[in-house]
Amino acid sequence: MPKTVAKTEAEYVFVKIPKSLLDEVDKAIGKHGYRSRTEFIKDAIRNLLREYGVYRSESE
Amino acid sequence: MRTSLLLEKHLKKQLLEFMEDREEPFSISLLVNCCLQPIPATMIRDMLCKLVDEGEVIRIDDERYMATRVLMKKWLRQKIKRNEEDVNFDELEVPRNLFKEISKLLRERPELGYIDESDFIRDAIRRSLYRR
Repeated sequence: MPKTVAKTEAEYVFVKIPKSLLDEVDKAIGKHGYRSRTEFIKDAIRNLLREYGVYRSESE
Repeated sequence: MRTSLLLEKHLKKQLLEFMEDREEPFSISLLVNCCLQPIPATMIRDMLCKLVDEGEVIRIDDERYMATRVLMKKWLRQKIKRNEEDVNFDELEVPRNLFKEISKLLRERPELGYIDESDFIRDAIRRSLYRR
């Protein structure tokens, strides 16, 4: 259990997002085959980074 | 003539400074009473009319006035407070390495116009939602 907490603090940053937007994400998760909100958001961020020419490997 | 213009300019400046310090509406009699030197009420009234014409002061009703700048500040403060209250936020976890990539991009390309990382993430989510 403590290991999980330590991993979360070290590897994740907490960002404030409007609840209404996250509600829309929750609705889209099931429809588009994502397992979680985090997975959807990681994918969305990578896509936009790619659009701006920032290379991200698929292995992440 | 020149002295009169200088006096008028001085009075205008002093009145405006006094009015912009007041958060609440004021009347002409209050302005007259607050003047350190005796100034005729008609002179103050004329100056106030001039300031109303110039948009520096707003006439609220028959007796009360307020400086436009003070009114704008009050309105903006209330509006900003209302907007903050209207939006409910939720915390979202983002992998630190992705967050660092965003920070780097925002530093290198300020022309993209993002305010901060959270602004970028919100845009990424919206684009992803609308693309589908």
